[in-house]
Amino acid sequence: MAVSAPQQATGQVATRNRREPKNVFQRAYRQWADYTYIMPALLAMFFVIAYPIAYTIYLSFYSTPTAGENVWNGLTNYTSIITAERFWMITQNTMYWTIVSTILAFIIGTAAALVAQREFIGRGLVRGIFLIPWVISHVATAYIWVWIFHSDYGLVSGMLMDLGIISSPLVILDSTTWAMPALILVNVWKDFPFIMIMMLAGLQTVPEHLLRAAKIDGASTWAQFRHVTLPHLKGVIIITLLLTIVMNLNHFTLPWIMTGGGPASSTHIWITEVYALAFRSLRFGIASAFSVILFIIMMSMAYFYVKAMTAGDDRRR
Amino acid sequence: MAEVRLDGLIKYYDDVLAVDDVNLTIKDGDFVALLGPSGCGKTTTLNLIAGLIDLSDGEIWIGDRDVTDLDPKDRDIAMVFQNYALYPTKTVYNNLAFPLQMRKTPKNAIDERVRKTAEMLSITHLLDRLPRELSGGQQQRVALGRALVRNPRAFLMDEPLSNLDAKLRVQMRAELKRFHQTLNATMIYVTHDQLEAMTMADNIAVMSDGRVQQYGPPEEIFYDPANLFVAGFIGSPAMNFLHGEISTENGVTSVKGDPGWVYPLTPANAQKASHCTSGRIIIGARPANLILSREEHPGMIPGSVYTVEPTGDTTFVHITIGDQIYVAITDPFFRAEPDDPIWVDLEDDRIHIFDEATEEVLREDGLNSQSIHGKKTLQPA
Amino acid sequence: MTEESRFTLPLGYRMSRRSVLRTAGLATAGLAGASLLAACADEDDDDGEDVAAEPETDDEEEEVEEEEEEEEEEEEEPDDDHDADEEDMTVDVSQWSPEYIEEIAGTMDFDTAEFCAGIVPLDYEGSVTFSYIGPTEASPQVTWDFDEEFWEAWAETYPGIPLEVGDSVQSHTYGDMLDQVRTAAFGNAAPNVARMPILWGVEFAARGMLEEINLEDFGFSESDFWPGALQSCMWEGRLYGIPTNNETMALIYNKQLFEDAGLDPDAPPETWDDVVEYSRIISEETGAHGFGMVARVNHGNTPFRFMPTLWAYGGSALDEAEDGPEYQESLLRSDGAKAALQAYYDMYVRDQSVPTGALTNDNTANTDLFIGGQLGMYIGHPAEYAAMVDRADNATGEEQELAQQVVDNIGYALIPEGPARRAVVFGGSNVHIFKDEFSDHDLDWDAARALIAFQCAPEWSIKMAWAGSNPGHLGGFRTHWMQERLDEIAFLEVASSMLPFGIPFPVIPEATEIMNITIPEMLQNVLTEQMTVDEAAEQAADEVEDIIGGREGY
Repeated sequence: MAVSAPQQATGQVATRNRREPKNVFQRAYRQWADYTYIMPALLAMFFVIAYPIAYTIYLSFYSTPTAGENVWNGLTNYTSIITAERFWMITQNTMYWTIVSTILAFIIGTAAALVAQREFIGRGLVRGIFLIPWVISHVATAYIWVWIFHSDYGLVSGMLMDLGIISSPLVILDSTTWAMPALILVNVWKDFPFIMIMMLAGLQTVPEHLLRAAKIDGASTWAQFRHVTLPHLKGVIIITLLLTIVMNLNHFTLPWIMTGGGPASSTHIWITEVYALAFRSLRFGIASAFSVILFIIMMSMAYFYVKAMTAGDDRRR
Repeated sequence: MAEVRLDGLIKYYDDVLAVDDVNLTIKDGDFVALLGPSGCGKTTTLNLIAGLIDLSDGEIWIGDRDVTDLDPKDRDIAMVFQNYALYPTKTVYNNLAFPLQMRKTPKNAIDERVRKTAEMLSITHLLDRLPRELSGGQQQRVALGRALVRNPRAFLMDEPLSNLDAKLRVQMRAELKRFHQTLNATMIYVTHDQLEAMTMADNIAVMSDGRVQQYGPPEEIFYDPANLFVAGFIGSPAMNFLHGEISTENGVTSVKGDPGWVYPLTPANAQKASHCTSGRIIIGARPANLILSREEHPGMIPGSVYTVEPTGDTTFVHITIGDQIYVAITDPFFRAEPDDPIWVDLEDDRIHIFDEATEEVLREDGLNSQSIHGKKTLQPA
Repeated sequence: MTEESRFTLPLGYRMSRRSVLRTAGLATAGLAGASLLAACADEDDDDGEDVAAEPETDDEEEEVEEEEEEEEEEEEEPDDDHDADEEDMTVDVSQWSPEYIEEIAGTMDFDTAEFCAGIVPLDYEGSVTFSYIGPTEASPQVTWDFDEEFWEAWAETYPGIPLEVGDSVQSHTYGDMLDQVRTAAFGNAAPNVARMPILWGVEFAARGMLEEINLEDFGFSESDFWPGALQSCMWEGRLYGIPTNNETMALIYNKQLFEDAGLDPDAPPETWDDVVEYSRIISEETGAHGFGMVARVNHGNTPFRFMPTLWAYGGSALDEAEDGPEYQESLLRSDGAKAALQAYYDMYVRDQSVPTGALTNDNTANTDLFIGGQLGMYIGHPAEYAAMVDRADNATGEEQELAQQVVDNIGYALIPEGPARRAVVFGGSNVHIFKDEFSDHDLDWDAARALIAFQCAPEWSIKMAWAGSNPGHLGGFRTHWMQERLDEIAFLEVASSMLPFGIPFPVIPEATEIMNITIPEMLQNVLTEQMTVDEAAEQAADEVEDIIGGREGY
């Protein structure tokens, strides 16, 4: 073995010298087929992503009257947005919506994952039931919950009235105070299965021997979770949280269908506002500037996401 | 430290019987190796002792406590895992401190214990590192340290050396044995490596098919195997088995081998063979107990050289007898060409006679004290 | 429309646009006996001329009765450059009433091919592309049938101008058409001809993408259409489209609930003050909701239901309800607008006589409540009766019984009037021609003219709007097809009789923003008591003027 190994190695080197092209271009040329395969995807990406982004950035520096030519107005769109009281009101709504939704969905989703991971009779059924909210379309979800919460013929009010707990229907979606919590509740209901699946996947990668070691070392169930499971899930948790945050920041369907941003703008969030600006008000310039601001925020999220995604690479190598 | 007693352990995985009526008593301060090929049930038995998996039937006693229904943390045992199972996000210090923290040990006592253990294992300089920054051998020491840091009633070790390279393994083997001797701890050690078992253990339980085949000190396991499995599993190169029929002519009992050779038995061996009920026996002879001759002598078994392997201080000679190949260990300078005729004699007082039907060893008195079918708890002989 | 562009009227229709306005003035002054008149116009009234207008209307009334066999009008029409048949189309909008609608229906035969031949020869060979909102899964069978029949008739009439759905013709849904046409137009790939819901066109007109229209080129005259309908196709005083169909809403009410509440089931509310009062009574006496308010933001249902109230009390978003609107200042801060807001406030907050869900409801919520017997009155579409009958048929058991009872007790009434006027949102569709440079298909002017004349003439303007709307061409009301519709569709004459009170939303591209965002938000600010009526109205007025002023920034 000791004698034959170097021989083998030299043989390999010789082969490589003969076969490997010397420069990048030659190598690229040799891989022309690979490039051909990804070219359609690249082109499609360019036209459906890069071009619209570029055009949006371009438009964000213009005033875009419905009649007449676009007029360059520099940073006016941007300054007017961030100095507007309404922007900060909507930002506040967005934060309220995103943070509370994310935290609640995360806690419930993780709890559901822990339940669904345990071995018990009917586990498959429970997992299936937990997934139901996730597989219902957002639009259907929105309409179902409007019906459940409705101030006049809502299911919730109806049941509470039948039980004699309340005497007149609850005002939920038509209240500036309660509309947002109601939307958040629906959002949490809709999103927790996603978190459950992510966490479940993470849980299944927790090394069994570490849990066993902890058991032997005298750890209680909670201590096992705290000292073994949780640290192991750190990466999954960060990625899940980031994805959920971005998902919530970009969430359009529920608020738009359930309240349209009302009452009195109390459920307007960034994305519904951008949509209303662009497609209801036809104010493309300002909507573009708004989008660019959101784009910057989202991209910073993406930075953390990518960082979290690649965090383990060093270790694995 | 305490005695560990396993009483009729049975473990089913669905329909598969993984542990089949294991009865063992590990004496206080004893180092016992559970030895067997993979899938023999040794690791399952260890996990049953640890409480990591639930029993199907039987009882486990540690000292004077029945721990059968206790959680692992309440059994007061320590365990070292094959892949170390260090907590990846904790420093070495915290890995060592963890079992103590979980048992609500006062902080200064923890510190004292951790440092003392680290010193004993020469890993004090590693205390602030994370497991992924350690070499395999260092990780192994930390894993060992995590077990040693407490004073458990028993140490359980699940192939702790198998992930180390050969050189480190030899070194750790010696260290482990020393730890055992200084701590006088009860240790149950799972391994598939007979060398580890032979070198370290006070007693070895050889397992196969979920059963303990033989339980005793290494010498007994080696020199007095209870059955064909133990005989074949222990020893390297493995024991040679010659199948044949017993025939008695003119008051002399011989074995008539399947290829046609006839080997006369000594009276002692004849006595053993007389207990055979089926008329067919297996002669077991370790390679070192084969005596080779280039010339034909009466009572020798004829064969031919298959190949010769010099290893330095001995030479392995592979011999074809009939359609079987056997191995003999001879003096280092023995040389022969393939197909050279050769005659084999056996050291009669070193060979083992097995009943071909039961595969049990045959003794002069006809009793096999290590009968695997006995329900009584096995004590090392 | 300028005086110069006025054309000679067919005999029997002596009212110019100006004269319609005069009569409108009369009505407003309460002088005319007829109460149903066009309410919007772009010229000022002249009191002196009102008197002169009256006899003209009377003349016409007589002529209407004689019309059927008359053939002599030609002589009386020296400048006539139209087909002779056209005189039969005359309709006197000043007499508009359910009875009048019944009376004129079926009094005219109309030959589309003959009419079209007078505009573009039937053997003309050319090509044109066309976009419209075609029938969808949700459409009733009759809509599908007429759509198919339309394309067959076209192929027969103009075999030289091939049109095929999916090829030269794009059939859109309501939801996607505006975005698609907008995108196409920006990319210079607009269709030559597009038939779009009312007011969608103004955005394109404002961008200079549409061809100016001269009605005579298509065989029509101003008197063939509702003034409000023509107004909805105008941008900066020029016409950029032709109305294809028009509709207005009506008040739908539950007679049973009226009776239960001690109200006269045959006396629907006359005024908006009555609505507030009746709503309170119904809610107090029966526990059901009185009036079906809709105040959802970002939803077209809201302005369609609130603006009639606003206009009736004398307010308006800009000055669209006034004669000759200039769209310069907002009348939301007027007393009338505040009175309308107060009426809504009274119903929602003070009396709680309307659905609490009004802030999130769209109109389907109201139809749900109505069919369930839980709503006294609401503003609904002409086709709503048919929808209710369908729903009653599809219900089961107890629900079916209840629904059937509601259907049996449906009443239709004119939308109530207010101190200033009776008003309703003028709806419908118009057809437009995109300029050659914004289309990827060379504009064949004659082919486009043929297509527009064909679909805007009485026959297809009525058939293409059979179930849910009314012919844009007034002549359609005279045809026997109208007779068929009246027999087929319940309450059609009541719903149609609101047409003269139709006011289009401001014909400016900013109208969508004002109507879908500013107005509903103003309402919500009041109804959630975030602001007082005065504050909300003032803020909305500022906002509207800001929008109109081409504001910069957010």
